[in-house]
Amino acid sequence: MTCHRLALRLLACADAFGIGDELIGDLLEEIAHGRSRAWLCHQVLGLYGLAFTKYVRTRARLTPRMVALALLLLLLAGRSVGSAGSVLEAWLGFYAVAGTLSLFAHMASRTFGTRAAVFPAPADAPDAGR
Amino acid sequence: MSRESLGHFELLVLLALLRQGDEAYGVPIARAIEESTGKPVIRASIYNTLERLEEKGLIRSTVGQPTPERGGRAKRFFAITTSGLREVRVAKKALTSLWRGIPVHEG
Repeated sequence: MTCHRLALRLLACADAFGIGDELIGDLLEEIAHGRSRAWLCHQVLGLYGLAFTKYVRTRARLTPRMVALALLLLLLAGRSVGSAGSVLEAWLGFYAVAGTLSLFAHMASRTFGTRAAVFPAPADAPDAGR
Repeated sequence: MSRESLGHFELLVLLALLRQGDEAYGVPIARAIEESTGKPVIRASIYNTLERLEEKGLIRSTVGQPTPERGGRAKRFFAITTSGLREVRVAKKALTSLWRGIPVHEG
């Protein structure tokens, strides 16, 4: 199946993925006015990419699942090219670095939050209205 | 109304919408942006931005009649609100004042 046909099929079933009728209509109108096949493939790719991003963003509970799934896939991919020991070692190294960075980021955010609470802006000060 | 300043693409969409008048829907808005910037625009990103601008109360939309050319799908027409016009003026003022006095832009 060519990219163009696949793009047309994906466009035909786009409303099932919550993509607005007006957007699909616009794309069909532009195809009727002679847009190229490459243009259509580009648009459909962007359409699904943005729809997926929006779907993940609007469902916060899904995001940790997506992260867990991505990590699992990464581990399986690593397992296919190396031994279980080396994958585990690489994973623990990554976890240590990511965990340390995350800890520092968390501490920094707490520090700035505390500073804002201790030194409030003049309008927020308790005796500002006196 | 949101006090967030307009993003670059949001401003482009609002200006393109203003140029189209009563006939502003996705296709002419996207074409106006492509003609002015010289770069292709993903149609879905136009609708994402229009949706965000509508949530901010800067534009409003109405649904038109379905047409066979569009596979029986209706157009959605957009119009700028008073708040939207105000935000465009604020953005223009800020940009003009920043550009003023820069030698590259005066020469």
